Amino acid sequence: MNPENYVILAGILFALGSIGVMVRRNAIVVFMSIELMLNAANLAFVSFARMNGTLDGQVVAFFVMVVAAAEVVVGLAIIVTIFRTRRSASIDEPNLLKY
Amino acid sequence: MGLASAVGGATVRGLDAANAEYGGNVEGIARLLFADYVIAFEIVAALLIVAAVGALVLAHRERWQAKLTQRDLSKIRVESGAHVGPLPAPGVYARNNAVDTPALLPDGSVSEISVPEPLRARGDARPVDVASVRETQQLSEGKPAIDLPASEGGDVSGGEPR
Repeated sequence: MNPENYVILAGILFALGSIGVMVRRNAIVVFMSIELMLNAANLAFVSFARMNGTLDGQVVAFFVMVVAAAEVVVGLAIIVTIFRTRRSASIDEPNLLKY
Repeated sequence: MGLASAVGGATVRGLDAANAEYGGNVEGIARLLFADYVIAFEIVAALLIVAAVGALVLAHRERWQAKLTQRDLSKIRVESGAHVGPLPAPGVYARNNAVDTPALLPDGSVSEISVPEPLRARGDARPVDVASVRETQQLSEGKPAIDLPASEGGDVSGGEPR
């Protein structure tokens, strides 16, 4: 029960999530990777709260979960709208705001 | 050691003292959430409402034409000229009982579409020995077997699917 290991696991999960965001092209998979990063941050928060001996980290993890839910709700709505017009969930194609 | 001393001070304190302060983990979190972080809690509540309404607005779509009913869809299917009924079943004969054997139409010709599409695509449809079928039929009708040209109708590939 060494909290250090949890922090290391959080780092690994965050690395996996960031690799997923950078490598994958499907918007849904990118969203899943973002969720992985958010949950890695949650794990780090809770581990540090245990190290620090306070409960603030657990409360912050709760707030992170709520913000993740809101982000997924809005993001999925945007993906659905883009998919309706473009027939594609690829994040490389919607470059209409580029110029 | 390494990480723990680098980030959080030398010792890992654990949550026992923090939990005991208000009589339990849930009670301690409740105290923090509804007293110290109550402003953030309210802001998060507002954020959730805004996110839900925003998702409704973003995902909403006005229908410009009426939704196609089952009746409309069937009409489109029939008017497109495609084959709407079930396909003919593959042939089953005395010497052959397999889906790669095409059925024979009433005029004795081979029905190509009675063989499943993947088999046709792979070229695995078995050519029917039409001559032997006719011979069997004639023998069953009491007529003497006549030698027919074996090539007639025996070729499955080529021509219009029927």
